[in-house]
Amino acid sequence: MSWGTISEGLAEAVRLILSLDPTVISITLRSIETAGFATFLASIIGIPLSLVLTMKNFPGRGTIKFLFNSLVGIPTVTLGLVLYMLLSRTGPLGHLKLLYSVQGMAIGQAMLILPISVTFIVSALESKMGEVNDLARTLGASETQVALAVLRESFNGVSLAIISSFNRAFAELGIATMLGANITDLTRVLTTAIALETNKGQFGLSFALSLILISVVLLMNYLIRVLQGGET
Amino acid sequence: MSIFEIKGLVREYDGEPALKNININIGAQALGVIGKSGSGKTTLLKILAGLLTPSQGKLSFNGTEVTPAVLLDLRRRVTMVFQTPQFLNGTVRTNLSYGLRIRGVSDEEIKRKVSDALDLVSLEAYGERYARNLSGGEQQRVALARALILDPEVLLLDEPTSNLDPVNVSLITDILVQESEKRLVVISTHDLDQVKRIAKHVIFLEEGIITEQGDPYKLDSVNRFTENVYTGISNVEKGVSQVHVGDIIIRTSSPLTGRISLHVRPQDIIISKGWIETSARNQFRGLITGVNERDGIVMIDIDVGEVFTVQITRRSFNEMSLKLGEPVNISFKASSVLPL
Repeated sequence: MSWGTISEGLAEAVRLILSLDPTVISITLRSIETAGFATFLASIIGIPLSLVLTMKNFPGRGTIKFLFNSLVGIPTVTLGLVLYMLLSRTGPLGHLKLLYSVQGMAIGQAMLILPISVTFIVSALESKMGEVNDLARTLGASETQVALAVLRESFNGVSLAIISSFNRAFAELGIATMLGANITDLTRVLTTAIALETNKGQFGLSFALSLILISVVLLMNYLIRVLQGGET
Repeated sequence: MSIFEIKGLVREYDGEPALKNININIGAQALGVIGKSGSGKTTLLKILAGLLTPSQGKLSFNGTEVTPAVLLDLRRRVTMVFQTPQFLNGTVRTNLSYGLRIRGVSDEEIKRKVSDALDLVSLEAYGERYARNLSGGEQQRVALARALILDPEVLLLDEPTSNLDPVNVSLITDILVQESEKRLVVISTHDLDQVKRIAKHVIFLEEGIITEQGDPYKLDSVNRFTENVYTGISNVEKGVSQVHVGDIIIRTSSPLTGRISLHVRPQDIIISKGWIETSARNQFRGLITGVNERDGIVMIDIDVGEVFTVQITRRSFNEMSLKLGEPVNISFKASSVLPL
């Protein structure tokens, strides 16, 4: 690929973004919607689960933590393949009609990022547990109030875990491809579109979408700094 | 009636016992818990606070056996102040309010109580300060205010003034003396002056067992310790703590700062007729002010600015022909100076 092709692609990318190209915008919004929904699902399951794993001592706790730690590195295509088989029309969960839908992709991504969320949230909670636990308890907190205090004190670590999970979902390709299949105006998201357009030689659109992808990730990381009240 | 009744209490950490067979009834009178580091003081207080459960044995609070079902109720009436104060992220006010908020106290009442509590510890203007940025002494005063604002039936304090400067120590001690009139105060401390001022009854813990208990002024272990016990201000210089006690400086290898109490065992001190070249970091000169003999052992008091009691054998005493009023040198290693 010559430098000419690259610079033409970049120029086209800038034009597409500045002109607020409707295709680019709809793909971007769909990506945010999918990853956002996935992050929401992973958080409403992941936060309480992490609190239980941190605060409660029960048999099998270590095993569950080990399992989640191991699943952090699960290949997206493998998870995509398993979910594809489950959700395909003839599969055991085919009747849910989730294949080739934003919801289907979001559920797949939620399963992908749940281990990341849980692993990092547990580690954030555990780092504050020592100082907050005895303090909140001796001041009269119930189990639930202690959990809330630990969660509040771990806000920075927990929000970092959630944003990282969002970024992982936002930037992954395997599940979006397997469960979404890059259908125009239905399941086409940034990563699947980039892969397709690059194959078609449409570097301008690929570059534009990649720039947006990176910008959103950077923006999320910036937001978290602001949220945590750190230096920006 | 006893507030706490403890029978056959054992607490283990991973099979290692920290407390072995503790039996004591704690009444309404302030209790001092003394003993070396690792003797089980913190473990005992945490069990009374409902923060740790006994491995074996029985604990009753106000006549009711402490079971998991009543732990929350116990913790709402018994509050502990830790050796190193911990804070919730936020201001002093956030921290003082926390215990009241979880009890559902109204905002108006919280405001009033916070202001009273700040007055009590002489930190009137500190409400909006960020708690974790305060000095050590101010932090411990906030921690004390945060416990007292809850008006607990029992106040437990785990070495609350170790490593604090004398001004804060005396401020906190004064408050604790007052509070011990209003509620049961249980304090573990290394500061013997403090325990004598606050506690009416003292237990002495050694390796997880109560080896002695009684009136702090009469307790043998306290008196054993009051022989060659010095309290002073310590600064760390080049890894050696220099403790200023009156006009002399005692060097100890324990890296401690602030107001601390030290103990030097009488048998660890060497007497010489003049200055000697020695690796011992402490050497002082003074006059012999007392000679007491018991069971073939001679206890000699030497005033070097502070009085040191030195234990030597009858034979050494005779060979050196030491006499009352005679000037001698004493020396002892920095590592023989034990922090209490």
